[in-house]
Amino acid sequence: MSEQALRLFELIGEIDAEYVKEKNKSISWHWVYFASAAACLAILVGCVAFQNHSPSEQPLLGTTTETTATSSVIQSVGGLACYASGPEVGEVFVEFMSWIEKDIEQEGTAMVNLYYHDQDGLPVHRSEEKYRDLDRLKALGYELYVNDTFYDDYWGVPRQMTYVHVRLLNREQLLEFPAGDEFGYVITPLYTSSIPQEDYLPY
Amino acid sequence: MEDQHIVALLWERSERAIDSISRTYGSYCMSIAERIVCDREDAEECVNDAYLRVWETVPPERPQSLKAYLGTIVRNLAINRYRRVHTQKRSCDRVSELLDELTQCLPAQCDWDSLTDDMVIRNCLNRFLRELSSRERRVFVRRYWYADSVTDIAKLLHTKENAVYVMLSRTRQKLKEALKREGIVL
Repeated sequence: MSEQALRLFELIGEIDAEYVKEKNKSISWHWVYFASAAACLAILVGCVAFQNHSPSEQPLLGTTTETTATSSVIQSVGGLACYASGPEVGEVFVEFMSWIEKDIEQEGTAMVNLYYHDQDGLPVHRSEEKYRDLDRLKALGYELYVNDTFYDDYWGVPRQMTYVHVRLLNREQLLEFPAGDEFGYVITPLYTSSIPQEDYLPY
Repeated sequence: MEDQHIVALLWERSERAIDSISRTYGSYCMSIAERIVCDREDAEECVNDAYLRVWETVPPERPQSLKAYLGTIVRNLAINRYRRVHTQKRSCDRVSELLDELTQCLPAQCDWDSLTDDMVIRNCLNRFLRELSSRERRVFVRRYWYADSVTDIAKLLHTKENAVYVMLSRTRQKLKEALKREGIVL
């Protein structure tokens, strides 16, 4: 019997390569969950805390003090978090783009500030963008994709635990996400300075 | 370095290809081999043999996914080594555990005179995998292709080990039914 099992084990090794290198694509509940969390968060903090917020913050690395609509930026953060965590960069980036695109359509602009750090916490890439131009944003995504700076998507290889910092330019807040795992599940922010962490914790 | 570049180096018979493979896929190969043979030295030998095999087979092969190609070679070499080690009565817990689990997938009948051809079984497995949900499929592949522990899979899934056990158990049952339905004899 064990010889049969061994043969089966052996033959499983010869399944189509597409299954072996299959990565995590978007998972429906995952996105639903994220969208819900983003919406709740927008309602919670967007209506109360940030309407009167002064833009006199001290950016972590940048100097921009632009303001933008609260809820749309939060949605962008949701998209970015998924983007940062998903191994299917191209695919997840589309999701990220859809958030941003919506912001641009509805608000005329989408503003996020992104910091990509290496394993030692040193910034390897910074983007401080007021997105009006989708092509420019796509160019950024492409650059990140080819450089693959913040995670390792190879199955079975210890992943790089790097961090993606998301700074919202219109508020005193820094969300810090560990880069995603191989399955691309949504990651838990390490901390937030102004949003209760529980709002993100379901992941 | 990208796969296509490495494959191009192999086709040029440049020894830099092996360095590149080692740098890019070394730890990936080691992790696969080590899970199966449970011994670092054995695993290293498997990995080195795999590099050699790739060197010998590319060209004429031109794998679309060097990673999957290399992974399959390493895995096969590790299983061969496991067989040898196993016959010498040295045990490897991880694989024994996997084989125990896979035994549950085997159809009851066993006619040694009419073993199903490998190709037929491979096609059956591919069809079976295609019918699984994406999540089930990934868990199955992590467990029985990569030989990951349930603990590691649970961590990857951000779920409880018990949930992984349950999913694997159901998937094995489905595989058993699929093998039986197609009259597969292993």
